[in-house]
Amino acid sequence: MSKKSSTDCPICGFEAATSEDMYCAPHEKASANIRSAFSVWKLAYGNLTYPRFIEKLSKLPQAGTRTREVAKFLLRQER
Amino acid sequence: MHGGVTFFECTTRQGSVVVCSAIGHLYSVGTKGKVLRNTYPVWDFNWKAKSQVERRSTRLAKWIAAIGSLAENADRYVNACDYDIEGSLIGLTILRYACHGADRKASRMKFSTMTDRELREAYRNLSPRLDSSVAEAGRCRHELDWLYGINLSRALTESTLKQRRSYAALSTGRVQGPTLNFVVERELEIESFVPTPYWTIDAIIESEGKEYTLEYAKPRVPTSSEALQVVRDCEGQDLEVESVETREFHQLPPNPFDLPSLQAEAFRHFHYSPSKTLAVAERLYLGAVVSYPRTSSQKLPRDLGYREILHQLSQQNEYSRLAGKILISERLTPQQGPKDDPAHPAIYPTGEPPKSFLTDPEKNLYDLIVRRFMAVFGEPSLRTLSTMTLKHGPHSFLTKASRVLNAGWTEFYAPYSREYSQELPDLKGGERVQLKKIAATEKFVEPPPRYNSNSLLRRMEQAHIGTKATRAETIDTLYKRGYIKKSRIEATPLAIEISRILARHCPLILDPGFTAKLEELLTEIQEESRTRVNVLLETLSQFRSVMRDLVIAEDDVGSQLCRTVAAQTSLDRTLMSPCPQCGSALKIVRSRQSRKRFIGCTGRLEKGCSFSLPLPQFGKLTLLHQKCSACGFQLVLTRSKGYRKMISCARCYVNRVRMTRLKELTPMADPAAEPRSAIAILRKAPSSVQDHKE
Repeated sequence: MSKKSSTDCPICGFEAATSEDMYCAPHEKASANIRSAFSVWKLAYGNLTYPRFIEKLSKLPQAGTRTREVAKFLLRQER
Repeated sequence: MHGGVTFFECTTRQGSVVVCSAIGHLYSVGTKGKVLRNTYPVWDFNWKAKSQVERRSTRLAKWIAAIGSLAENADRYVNACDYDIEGSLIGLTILRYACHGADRKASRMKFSTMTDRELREAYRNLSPRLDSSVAEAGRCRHELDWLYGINLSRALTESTLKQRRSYAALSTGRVQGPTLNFVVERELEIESFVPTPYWTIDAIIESEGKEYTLEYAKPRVPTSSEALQVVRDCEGQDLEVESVETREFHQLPPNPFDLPSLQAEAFRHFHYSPSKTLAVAERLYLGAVVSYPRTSSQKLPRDLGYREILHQLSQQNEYSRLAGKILISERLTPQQGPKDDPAHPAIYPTGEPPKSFLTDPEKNLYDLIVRRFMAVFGEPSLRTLSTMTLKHGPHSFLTKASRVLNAGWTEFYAPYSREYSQELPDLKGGERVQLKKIAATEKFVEPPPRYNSNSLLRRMEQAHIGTKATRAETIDTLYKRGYIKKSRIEATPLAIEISRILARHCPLILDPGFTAKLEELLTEIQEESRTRVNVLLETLSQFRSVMRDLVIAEDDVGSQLCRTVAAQTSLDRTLMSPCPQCGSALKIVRSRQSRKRFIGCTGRLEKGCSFSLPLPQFGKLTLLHQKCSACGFQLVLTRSKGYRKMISCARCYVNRVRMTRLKELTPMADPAAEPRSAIAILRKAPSSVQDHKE
């Protein structure tokens, strides 16, 4: 088993997608999708805060597994 | 019988005729000379008896010997295998290798049904030569598939094995790679999917004591404020009927069945996998009740004799009324589809009643084919579609209804045609009706749907990868390799890793365009605008560079795959049910001392838990997703060669053994006190298609 390095994904421990990325490729993709979806959600709900958004996302069954994992990770960091 | 092989002999005016079956391919591509199984890349190949290439095909050796012996002293040879690429290649290789070069003087028999009449006619009108170009295209396909398959699969398996951490037979290939990639891409899309919220407005009105549901003109309202505004504006208000529009439309009869459309329809109505549909259709073809199923044609040529087939169908009780109704028409003109196949027409019933007992799947498929055949002769169905628009201020609501005016072809295709009828409220333009209920519902966009075997087959067809005959088999291979699971197909972590590695080191293999281009080249061989050698050389020049890159990256590929293989193996051996004593995970383990396998608790070292359950010691074990109906413990499937599959519950087995022992020790024990769960569940395992659904 390879030794955990600073470039490993903090969620699954796999190698980060690129040296600039924080997560592995699948989690990075989910993270990018979350970032771009926030503006749409904010518009849809009116006054939605970012922590409330990721909290809601982390519990949504329609959200992908990687998306929920990233949301839960972000939620832990927020707290 | 000749050497254990059945053959038929008859006498004609020209002399004696010997007929012997080929039972599929007797020859296959194999490595030239002796090459170790772990060597790659491999470039030298030749055609060998399949019995020498595959261990499980050893029984084919006697077939080759029997055909070779029967062919001695023959003065004429006829290839009467199915009239398609595979049939032409099977015949060519047998004539060339088993009958010592008889392919040069052989003729070809062409037929689409196994009816007595057509077989006699095909024998009378033999094609003087073999269809060599078709056989050459088939030969090239087999050689390319072998080269791609053996080299890529060995590269993956051997690079993993060299890490000395885990073993798994990994495979990929020219068709398998892009097909798997479709599933993996969809899996990744679903995994990283972020749903977007939207609101729907559901409204109900009441007219003459009957409730009608209305749709808001905007099916998806993007913001909550807008949705709440609509509800506030309309709540308790009257709606005015603005318009009632009715239009009539004709629905043309369906096209005759080609193989993909038959597979799609059988999946829709009976949930048969494409491979099962093909297997059942082939059995019906061999029973001479339907035409050759491996066809891409959606056309029924006039010379099939529509009237005679329908007349024969009218002799069968189930179809007598409907077939008789079609026969009343003076001119029979079937609906024809856009696709064509020069070798065979669309799938149709021969009209002959089944001579032997049909199993349920055979009955279902036969019924579907017969009804579709009758439906293509039907008139277009006529329906009305009415839309009523109701308004309150700026807000519009719709309600739709549909009515059948003339059933047309749908009468012949019932119960497989979609029948729906709904009525509109009895209201006229300008009339007002009170809104009984209105509510805004928060919803989220659903992730893209998973493939099922039918939609994956369609995706392969769209991308022009594989052939109509091999696509279903490719999907089955993906299941067998453990790359995909469940009927709503999920890619396993191993599949995702393999696709990722191939995308990084040899993206060409995953490119459906590359495989589609190859299919075009194979078609060109068939059309004699290219030669087999030319295509082989052109394709291999590209493939050699792909293999060179893979060999260079062997260590990298191996270490990446190894981790996933080990994780997947561990996951495959871990039970869903936790340890009843300490709650830790239970795993299938093997004792280092006795080498016996059993279910053990992973909390043994940490918590000192000694819980264990016995397992069958022979056969391959698979943990099922089903739970025991008596005790709720996870069931185990055991497969042993030569035995029936067995599904058992390890916990119930132990309880039963304990109860038996207890009875032996206390013979007066009350039998009514025996718990129901103490019953070992031993029953026949589901078929392979059902396995996929687990």
